Amino acid sequence: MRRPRALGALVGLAWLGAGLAAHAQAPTVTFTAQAIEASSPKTPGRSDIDAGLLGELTSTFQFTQYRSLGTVSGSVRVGQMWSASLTRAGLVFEVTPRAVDGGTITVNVRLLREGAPVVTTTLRIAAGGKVLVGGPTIPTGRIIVALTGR
Amino acid sequence: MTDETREARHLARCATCREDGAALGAALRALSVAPLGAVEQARIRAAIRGELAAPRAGWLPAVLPWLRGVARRRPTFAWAAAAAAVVTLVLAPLHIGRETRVFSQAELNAQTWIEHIDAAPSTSVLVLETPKEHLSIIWVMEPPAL
Repeated sequence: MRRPRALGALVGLAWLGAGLAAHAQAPTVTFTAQAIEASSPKTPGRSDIDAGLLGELTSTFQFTQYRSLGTVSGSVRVGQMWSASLTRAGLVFEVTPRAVDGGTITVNVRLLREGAPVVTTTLRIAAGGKVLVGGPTIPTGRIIVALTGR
Repeated sequence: MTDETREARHLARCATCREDGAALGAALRALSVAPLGAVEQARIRAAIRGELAAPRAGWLPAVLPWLRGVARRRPTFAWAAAAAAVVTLVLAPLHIGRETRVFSQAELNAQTWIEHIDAAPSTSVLVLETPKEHLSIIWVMEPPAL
């Protein structure tokens, strides 16, 4: 009689523990950052970024050319930092998810030049939503980082 | 002791009863059985149809006595099952209640919320939003390099 009781208690505790552990585990957030060079050369070339994003940028700024410098993505757990080095711009883009609540990600974003923060911001973005951080000068124009988190 | 056991023991000892029993059996087998009348046949068919048409009990009434037996014999199992059911009932709504609607990119972008911005000294920051896709833009203007 003692053994089945102990087994039953063990099964119950294991079930309870598995259920709670699944919820206690820090969620993972995947970020995608696209670096875009915005410039106004004398002879504008073809912009090679997504047409939808290009439309938004041309309706907001007066730059005549938007070129993609590259796209990077990575996954991190909440509380861990993910960074992307924008080598051509001499900048580092750091992203740290702070919390995930339903479909909303609270995230700290830093843009650093030579180790010093140019801008630090805390954002709440919907999973799949996009936000742009830009403006810093690079030799060929300005840089814009399009950040997506999910 | 059951009636059948008692009867079998008696027959093993009593030769008279054994002979009577054999004679009674032979007499019953010799009797002719009259066929059923039309009314009785109709009554039996109606009873069978009624039985077939009656709703069958679900699986729960069949399982409940077994569950009661398990709960009586293995109370720890019953408590473990109850705890598991409670955990499932508490956690399941967290999954079921999650938003399943598909948002457009503009709707997702519109849900962006900027809590705070810090900029380096002498740096200006503009916060813009595009009219169509509701893209939030944090635009940083650094001081000119010396």
